[in-house]
Amino acid sequence: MLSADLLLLVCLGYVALLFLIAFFVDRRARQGRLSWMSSPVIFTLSISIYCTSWTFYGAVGSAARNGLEFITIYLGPTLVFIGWWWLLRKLVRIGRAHRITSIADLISSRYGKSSGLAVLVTLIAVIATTPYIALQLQSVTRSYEIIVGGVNSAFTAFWVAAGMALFTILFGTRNLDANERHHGVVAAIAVEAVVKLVALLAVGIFVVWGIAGGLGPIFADVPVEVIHGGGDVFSPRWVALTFLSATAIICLPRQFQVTVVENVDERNLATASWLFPLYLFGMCLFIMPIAIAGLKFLPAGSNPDLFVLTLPLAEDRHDLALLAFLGGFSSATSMVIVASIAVSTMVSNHVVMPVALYFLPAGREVSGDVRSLLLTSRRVSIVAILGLGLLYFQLSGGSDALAAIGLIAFVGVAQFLPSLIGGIFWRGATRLGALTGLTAGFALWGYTLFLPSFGGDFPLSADVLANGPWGVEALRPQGLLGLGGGDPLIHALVWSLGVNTLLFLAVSGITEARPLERLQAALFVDVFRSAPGGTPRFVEGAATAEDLFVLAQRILGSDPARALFDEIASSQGRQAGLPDPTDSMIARLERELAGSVGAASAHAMVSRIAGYETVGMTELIDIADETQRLIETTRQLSEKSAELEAAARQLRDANARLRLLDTQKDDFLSQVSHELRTPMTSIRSFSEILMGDEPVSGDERKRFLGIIHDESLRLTRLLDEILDLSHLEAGTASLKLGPLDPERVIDAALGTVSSLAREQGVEIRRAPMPAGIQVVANEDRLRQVLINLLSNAVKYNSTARPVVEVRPTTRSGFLDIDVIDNGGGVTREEAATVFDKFARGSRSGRGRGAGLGLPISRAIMHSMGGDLTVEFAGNETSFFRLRAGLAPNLG
Amino acid sequence: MNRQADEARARPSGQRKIRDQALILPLVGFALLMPPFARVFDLDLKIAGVPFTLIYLFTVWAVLILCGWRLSRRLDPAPAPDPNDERPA
Repeated sequence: MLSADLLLLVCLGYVALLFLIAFFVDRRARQGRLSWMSSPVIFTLSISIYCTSWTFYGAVGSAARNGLEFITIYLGPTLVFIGWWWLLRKLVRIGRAHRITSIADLISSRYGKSSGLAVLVTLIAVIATTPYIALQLQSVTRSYEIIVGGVNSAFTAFWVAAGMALFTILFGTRNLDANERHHGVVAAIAVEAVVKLVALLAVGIFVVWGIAGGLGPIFADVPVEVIHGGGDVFSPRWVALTFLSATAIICLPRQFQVTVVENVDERNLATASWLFPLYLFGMCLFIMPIAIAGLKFLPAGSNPDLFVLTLPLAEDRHDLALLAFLGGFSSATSMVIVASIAVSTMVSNHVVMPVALYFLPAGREVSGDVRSLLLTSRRVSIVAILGLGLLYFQLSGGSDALAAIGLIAFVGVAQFLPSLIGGIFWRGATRLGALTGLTAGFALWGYTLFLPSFGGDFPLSADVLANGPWGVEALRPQGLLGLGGGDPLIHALVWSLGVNTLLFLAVSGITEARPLERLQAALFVDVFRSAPGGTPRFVEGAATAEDLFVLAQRILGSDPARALFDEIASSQGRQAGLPDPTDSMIARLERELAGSVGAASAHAMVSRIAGYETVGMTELIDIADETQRLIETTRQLSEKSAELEAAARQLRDANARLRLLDTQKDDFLSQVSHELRTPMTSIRSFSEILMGDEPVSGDERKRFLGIIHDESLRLTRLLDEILDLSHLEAGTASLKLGPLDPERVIDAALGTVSSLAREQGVEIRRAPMPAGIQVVANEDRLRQVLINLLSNAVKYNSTARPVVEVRPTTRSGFLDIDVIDNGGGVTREEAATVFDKFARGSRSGRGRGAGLGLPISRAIMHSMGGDLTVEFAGNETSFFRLRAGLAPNLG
Repeated sequence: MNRQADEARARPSGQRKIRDQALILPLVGFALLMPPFARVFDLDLKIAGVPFTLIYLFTVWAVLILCGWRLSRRLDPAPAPDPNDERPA
């Protein structure tokens, strides 16, 4: 046996060392020299408070009783940390962006800074944490007893609790840190984390190679039931426990405290993602060998929960036993310290502050110091929580029932999971949904797991446990609606978390979120997309800077408040005095205060001074809101698709034009070949007659040759016309233009057609030409067009007294020469096609011209800058109008 | 920043690929460690005197840690500057 004095001395020395480390680091932190404290290794070690004495002693006990099952408690956190990118990173980012001080703060902030939710979460946290603290006290006193021998356990437990309370108050509530970070505490628990890992590894190595002589001998002739825990190891319980431990690493208040609140740098998570699982791996490595060695080498009936301690003692290795004791002591104290800080923060921020706010009068007449009230409430909370733990320990009499409390607490805090995960990934989650789910889950957890864990003494009697209240079998705590029979833990987990999740989803689905909830939902869910720190806030009503300053002084203390206001003032560009109470300034202040008192309380306090907050729907839309972004994206997309559509339409039009042109070209070619074919046929047939054997008279021969000649001429003319037209249309025929006298051109044209007119008996009238004008044109071409028009008018006029009139007029820089005949002209339908190639008017018979005259004429006029159109007179008779540009100097 | 992260950023799909892997890794780990898959390896044999089930669990665990280590070096958190740290020290 180690002497009690020596053990006490070592213990006190160790505690003194921890105090020193915490003190030293705290002082360094105040001086701003903390670079090594923000290292990812320290961060990882601080997370290892997950391994409490429940791990240090209890894992071996669990392995001895249930085989490999203990590993599940460490596999869950491993999976969560390896998947850090998807969940933990978001939690940490939200925690930093919104100055979250606890898991209650996170949930209440997310659901519109609801104080009701904060109180509920705090209540669950206190109820789930207290027995866990009792468990730590128990393990310390028991291990102390084992080493020293019979002592007063109540006495030991009291002093252990008192020591922890002192440490926590000293280093956990020295100040209201704006970030709620406690560097001294983190440093101390990091040291403790190393101690417990080293201790467990040392004991493991000693047991395997010191006692048993290697891994082989340890596992030799071990029945498979020991490894498998007497049944199927990979059972539903295996899955449930893994899920539960994965949940716990996120939801346990103390884990949230170290992972999110105390985290100095988001990048630390990247290292912790593998280093923390590695730590757990190291902790678990020798659990199974130690358990087996304890079963093998220690007398039957030894408590497996203390094998870590009793194995070295049995071999008289007091040094190792002392190390193991310190390891267990470290596991217990670090958990108690962080858990009591986390829970006391919740209690003071979410229970004490709102009550104080209610009783304190509004405005600046408040007497007393909110800051000291907060610190005092936090200190009192720590003492109260440890006192509760102690009370619980005394009441439960250090029974073995405590050993199961670890998992019971896990199921308790697992109730936070739906609201937490739903809150940061789903905008639709509402406060009422969270409230309903949490309440139902909490109630079911209490009824099906927590209360029955007292073993039928209190408050549920053994009769109620066995037969249900009032003998109603369906309400049996461990067999709700007759679903019992299996593992009570899984029964409770499925019921509480299942109902919790369903209610959370269903109620969220049917309730409307308040504007502030929607705002917070957008900020939380889109935390990676929001501009950092730009927490929008809309305040109606006037706040005076003095009032806000007084408030900040009360909470932060006067020097930090002065520094904060000076800084805000200088960022507003003011050299002296208080800053303007703008929206952003108030939002900033609220965020700073939230770091000390939690979002809900900070919000309530600032709102009391700044006036009642109103967040309207229009303002909400302005917020970095996904809807807004979606609308913007949609708009851009529709613009793009409209552009595409326009391009496609243009392409379609172009395609249609091309098709039309292609058809026209085909028509043209077929018409050309048709036109060519007629003279070719007659030339060929008449030449065949001439070449044939049948005698042809001299007259006939002459007539035939004449036809062949005429047809050849017609062919040549046709080809010339086609060539001419294609040149004109392609613009390759450049006409020589010059000013000329239109009178002369008309004279020449009339001269040409005069003989034809006489022949047909057509009278040609002529209106006088406006005096002294000249047109810009090519004389030959202009005459060609005129002749064409006149000869058409002469040829196709079948009235009894055919008259053709040429009427020149000038208008706006042009000379119009109208060629009007009294034959009626063309109809409106014909007018549309009269300029098409090979089109012949209804008045023209077959074989008289190829139908190229008008297209050629129009092409000529176009290439001379003029035009040729069909005009309609009032009595629906049509005529041709030739338009030529007047020479400018004379126009 | 290390070379791999630079490479990952150089390729636009690189970071996304690694993020996908970061999502897949815990899922694969879960599948390997949970029934029914884990039951396949629950064999009644010993390697160097150690039961195979134990070896299997710890090996998967170690491989997960190793993959997590590799991924964590290549994932680029690129944290936004903390708005709360703008106060002078």
